[in-house]
Amino acid sequence: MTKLKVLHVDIGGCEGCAVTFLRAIPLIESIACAKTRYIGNDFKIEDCDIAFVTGSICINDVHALELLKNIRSKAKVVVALGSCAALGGITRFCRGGQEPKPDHRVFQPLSSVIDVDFAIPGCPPPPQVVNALLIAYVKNVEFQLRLFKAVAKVKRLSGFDLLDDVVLPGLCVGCGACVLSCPTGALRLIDRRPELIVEKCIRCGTCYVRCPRASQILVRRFT
Amino acid sequence: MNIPFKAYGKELVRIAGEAEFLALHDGDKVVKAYFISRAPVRGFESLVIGKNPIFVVEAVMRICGVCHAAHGIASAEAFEHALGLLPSRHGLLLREAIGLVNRLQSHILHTILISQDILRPELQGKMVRMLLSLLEKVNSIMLKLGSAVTHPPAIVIGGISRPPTEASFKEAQRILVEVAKSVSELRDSVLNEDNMNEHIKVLKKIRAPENFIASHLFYGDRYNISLDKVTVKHYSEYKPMEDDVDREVAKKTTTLIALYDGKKVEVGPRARLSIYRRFNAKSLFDVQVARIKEIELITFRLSELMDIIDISAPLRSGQIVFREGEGVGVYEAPRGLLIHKVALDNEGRVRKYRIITPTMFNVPIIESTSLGVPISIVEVIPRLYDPCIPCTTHLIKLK
Repeated sequence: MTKLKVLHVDIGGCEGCAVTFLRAIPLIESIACAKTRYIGNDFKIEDCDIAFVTGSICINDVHALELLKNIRSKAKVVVALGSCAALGGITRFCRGGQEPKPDHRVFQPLSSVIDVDFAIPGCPPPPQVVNALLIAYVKNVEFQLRLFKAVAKVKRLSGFDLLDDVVLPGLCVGCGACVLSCPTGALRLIDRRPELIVEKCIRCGTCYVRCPRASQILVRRFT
Repeated sequence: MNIPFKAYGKELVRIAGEAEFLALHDGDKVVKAYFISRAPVRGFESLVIGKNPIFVVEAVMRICGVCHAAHGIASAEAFEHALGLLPSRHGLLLREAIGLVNRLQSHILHTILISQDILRPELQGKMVRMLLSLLEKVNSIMLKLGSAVTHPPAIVIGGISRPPTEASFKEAQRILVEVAKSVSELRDSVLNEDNMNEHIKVLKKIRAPENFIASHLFYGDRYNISLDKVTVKHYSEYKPMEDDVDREVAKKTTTLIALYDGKKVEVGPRARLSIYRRFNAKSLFDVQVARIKEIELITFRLSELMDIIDISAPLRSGQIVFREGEGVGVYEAPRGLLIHKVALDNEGRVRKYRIITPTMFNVPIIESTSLGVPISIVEVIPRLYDPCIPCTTHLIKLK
């Protein structure tokens, strides 16, 4: 079997997801040949099967926009890795006005600028998810890819959406998956119902995707 | 553009973030060097204005995915200073341990990135695998102490939230013993002359400037430095704009420059060890030797801390009242001196926030050290100083 040609590019994130990709390399090496700026001497955007892109896109940065469009033209499949790339995450709060580039004001998920095939939220996602996505892709297991596909079509997910779509309509089963997945500890269970500490929510969307009910809502709506 | 010298420009690989390095040379040695960061400015200082301090600590940890805990600790320290809070003793000790585990993560990651520059080619693959497995072990300690591998949510204002269970704390201690063994192997293989490649001979001969600043060996102390001597400048103010190249670089770069007492200073492992351990470090290669030595030193300190910490003792101060105030948090991040300054309004929300990161101090050092270096190895110089672009591009000019 020929190995997948996989590329990782960061377009201005915190590098936490880039480290996730680096940690995933030993896991995926049997099915993929991975290239990243973290290993090797020469790195350029080249034709590949799958490009993992980390970091949200600053729509005021021409250099980053060109880079992202170049990635889309060279990659057969683009995966937004991490909450910033998938949903905007913490960078949704950015308002610009800061030296030395005060014009860098608006940060968006990648899907606002290019077509994204799959998105993996998480701040940062664990390396095992990268492996799971690649295995499902190679084996073409449609039902395992559906959720990643659905997230790629959403531009906004957070603890607030979880409350609105699952908890308040009474769909929550009190499993606690959202509490365990939250990277900031913004959720806690009170009487088997999640309670959101609003000032801790960084809008990464991990809870929404991990929730067994909310994830099904996503899949039904977007695939 | 009319350049009197030949230009060697390249997008840097194997550093944390996106940056370019431009060196003008006479065919043999570097005459002028420019470090140009290219990552967009997310602007965390403006992002946090008007926000609740609880959000701010979580937010600033997301400035960097490599030195996340360092930003969290510096921020929590700044808020505690502003609010007149004193965290509990064991909370502080556990916080120090989390910070040191983060420093280990960062140094190991850097050794992965630089192994190609310092080791013989046939050893590089094996070393990267060994380092990745060591990184996983260190990550599992971070997971147990800080509740997450990256951006640990356990760091909060007033101490530590979510204390580890006794079982996971003991498991962390057990893993630390394994880490200590791997660290000795790492030191032996990286500092073994037989394993080094030809770059090292050149690096050992080049003298690195010895102007250092560090606030503490393991944690950070705002009283060990004079904060009023730290100045931040635009790239164009720091570097004389002599020609088109200077002006173009100043326009392109997304970083600012930090100086101490108006001078360029090096921060990081070599600075810490030179000031607090009398580490005799003169050559460029010693920048890397210091980092390896520091990995070992941190492991000793961590096992010492794990013996002292009592997780059943209070880890967070009981009462936090958010109110008006100003504070400074100084912390020794993996790459050196990190400063967070905060001013709170009368509702306890952030009115002003300023961050000065280690790479801002090190950019002028990278550029000046590169002068006169043979062009064949100049690309190694920025990597030796372990620049962190995500941190560096989120800074604002100090008034």
